[in-house]
Amino acid sequence: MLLGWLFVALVPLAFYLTAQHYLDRDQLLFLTFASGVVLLWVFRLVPDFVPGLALIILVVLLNIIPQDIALGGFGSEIFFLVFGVFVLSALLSESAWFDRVEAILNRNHASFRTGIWSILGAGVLLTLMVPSPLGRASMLQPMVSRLWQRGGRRRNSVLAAAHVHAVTLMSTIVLTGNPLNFVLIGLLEEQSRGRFAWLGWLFATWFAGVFLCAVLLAAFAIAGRIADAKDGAATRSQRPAEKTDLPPVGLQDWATLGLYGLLFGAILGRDIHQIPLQWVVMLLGIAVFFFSGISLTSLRRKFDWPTLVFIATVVAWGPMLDHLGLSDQLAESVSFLEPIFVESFYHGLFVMIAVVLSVRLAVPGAPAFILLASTLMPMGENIGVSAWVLGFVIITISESFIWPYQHGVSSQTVSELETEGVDYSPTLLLFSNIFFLAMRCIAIVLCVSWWIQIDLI
Amino acid sequence: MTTAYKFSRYLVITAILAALVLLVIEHNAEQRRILIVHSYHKDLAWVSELNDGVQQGLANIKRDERRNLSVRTHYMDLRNHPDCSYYKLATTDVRYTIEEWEPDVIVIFDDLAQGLIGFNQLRYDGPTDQGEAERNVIAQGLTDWLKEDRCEDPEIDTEYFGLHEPAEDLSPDIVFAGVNGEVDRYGYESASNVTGIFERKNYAAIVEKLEVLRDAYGDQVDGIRLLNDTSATATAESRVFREVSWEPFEPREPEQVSTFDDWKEKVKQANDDNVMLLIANYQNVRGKDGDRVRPRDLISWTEREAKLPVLGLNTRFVADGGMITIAISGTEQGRVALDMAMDSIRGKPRRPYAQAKQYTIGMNQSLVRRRDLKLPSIYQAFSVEVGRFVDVIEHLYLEQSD
Repeated sequence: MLLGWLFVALVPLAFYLTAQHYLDRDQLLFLTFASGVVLLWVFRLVPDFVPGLALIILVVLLNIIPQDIALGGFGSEIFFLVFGVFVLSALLSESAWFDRVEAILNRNHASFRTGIWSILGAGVLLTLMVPSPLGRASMLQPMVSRLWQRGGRRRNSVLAAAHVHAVTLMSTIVLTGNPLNFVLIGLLEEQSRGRFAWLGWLFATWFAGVFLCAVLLAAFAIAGRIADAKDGAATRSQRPAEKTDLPPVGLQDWATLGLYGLLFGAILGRDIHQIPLQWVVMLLGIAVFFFSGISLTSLRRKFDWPTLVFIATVVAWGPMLDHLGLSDQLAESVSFLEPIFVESFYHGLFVMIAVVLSVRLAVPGAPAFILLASTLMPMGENIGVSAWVLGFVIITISESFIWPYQHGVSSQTVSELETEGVDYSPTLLLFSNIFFLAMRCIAIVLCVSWWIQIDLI
Repeated sequence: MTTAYKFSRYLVITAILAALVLLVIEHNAEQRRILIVHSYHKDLAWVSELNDGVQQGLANIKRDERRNLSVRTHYMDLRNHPDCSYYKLATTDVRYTIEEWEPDVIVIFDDLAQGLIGFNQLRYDGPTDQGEAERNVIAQGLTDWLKEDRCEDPEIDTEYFGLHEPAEDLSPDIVFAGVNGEVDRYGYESASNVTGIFERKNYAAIVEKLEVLRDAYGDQVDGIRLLNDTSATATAESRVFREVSWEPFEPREPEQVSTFDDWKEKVKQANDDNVMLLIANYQNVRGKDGDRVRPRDLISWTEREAKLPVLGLNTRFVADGGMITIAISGTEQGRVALDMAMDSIRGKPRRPYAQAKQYTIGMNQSLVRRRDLKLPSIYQAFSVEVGRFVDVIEHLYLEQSD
């Protein structure tokens, strides 16, 4: 902790002293503060939204960036889109649907493999509706906990891996699957954002989505069968099925489904109503309050305000860098990559994936994505590749993980396993992480021909 | 709380929300949409002038009408990325916006976007077979023009830029502006949904200005020559230069170069030939390292080395270090284009093509003095009076004085 704060104090100072002859006053101060912000993120010294907010306050107070640009994220369509989606997902987390699934599994003494299929199905389905992988993992946790088995080391490992990857693997396939997807949209030029609204994003990623989904299901079908065979039939549920009564489905639960139905209907009917997605989502969010769908107490508990503020602060990074003329300089700093991409897009892709993976060894997902995306995405214009493609590759790889510390969901699952004293194999978990990282890379490579077909490359 | 009470409450709330949503949907259904597509980006003063003109046009619209009007602007930024794959990318982006946003009118500024965007949106009323054949010829011509010096793969066909077939929905009307040459190369002449304003230079005014410069120079002038980079706009200007009458001057074959070394060579050749240079496009000239030469470096060098006075033909010329320029007013282009778009939205009959009428003058007095030219004082007064030239000229003047 102290070491982290020392870094935060000394690295920006060292940067300021060494770079003062090469940059103008505004650029120098901005990059000095930005380096401090990145270190605060890397060492996790304060909540993620605090450094971004501090940067905005400083650049406004010191007249480095005009207020309307620095605070642009709070008035952007991204902010309202995330706001609305968070309200809907808070409502979903309050509904009884997952309690019912859990109760049904208990009442029918669901087998291990049925449990796996339920987790995979629920994880993928939730990816469409809940934008936070950690939130999805928490919603599924009670269901997973009921399926832990004493002496079922392999089964437990497969369960844990299914839990982790069901809620993370598809998170970049749909726009609303991950908060950083919104940041990626925010880093695009305003005139290009419309192309990657919900359906447009899915149109660009469906190929990777189908591949990853198929791999996810196939891998756990095989892993489940092997675990069943190896662990034998003697294992039994650690916990008795104490809750078998189906929780009643109330009006609110149906209303939740109805609101999501309206949302997807509005997404599909965009051509007819021509209302931008952020306003559709906000209207639905407001409808939740009109119907008293969620209490203020629940909202305070379930609504992810820190992530919303974090996204709003980070969305302004692109315009701030543009304003200071730093985007071009950052693109120039990685210009060595351009000839590689021009010679062979695949070679460039491999180099980029290697860079992202190396950075991710030390830097957490969100700051790694922001750093790499701010630096690499402007290069897209020079190599004739959509900035979105570069951003998607960065986010998909930076959201992968090998070691538990690299991702919140992974570390939370391991911690849960340890706390509950569940017998599991860390090696199997590690193997699954490496396997799905490899699958993400393959999915990206397979997507290239699709992206060429839809003129993104 | 009884079920009936709850039900009634939800019913009232649903009715309120439904009414609000219907209100929004109805408002959206009444919205008329104008998509403005720039070939270039905001970093060009020319583009700012066009936007100023559009804003002037919008300001003239009555409030009730303005409320139902939605305007979206898209910058293709093609000048900064003279590369085929980028052209394709930028084109796809605009086509996506057209498909998704369904504008009523598309206002297209400058040549490149006419070829990449306008051509695909044309409606033909003539016989289909003839139209098809004609279309294919135009598509091939456009592809050849667009890929010139920009594509690594010489085999690129009409499909590459998506010119091989028209867009599915051809309902929007097209308004072009900022076009120097003819519009038949884009298929506009035979299309039924196009109107616009040409950016053709006011050649009478240019000749007038050349005469003033020649007289101020005092010595013999053997002719005039257009020197440009190899951009699409420059190629169009070269074509027009050959067609226009330059009496009493003898026009020499226009030159287009891609490197600074060649540019220097051409300036020296102009000195040897004792001809005055006219310069309009130079942003795509590249140095030895392959990077584009800063316009300021290029024009300052030219102004320093050219023996005879050099006349600029664009809005940035003086800001880039030139002595004097005469340029078409971008504001007029933007305003007229917007007016034409509004005519289409109001259902008025299509206007015939318009010609640019306004032009502006810019002058750097310190450079005029360096050449010891005596120019009419009205030039200085006008330069100071009009738009953005004032700041730049003053800035340059102060810089030179220091």
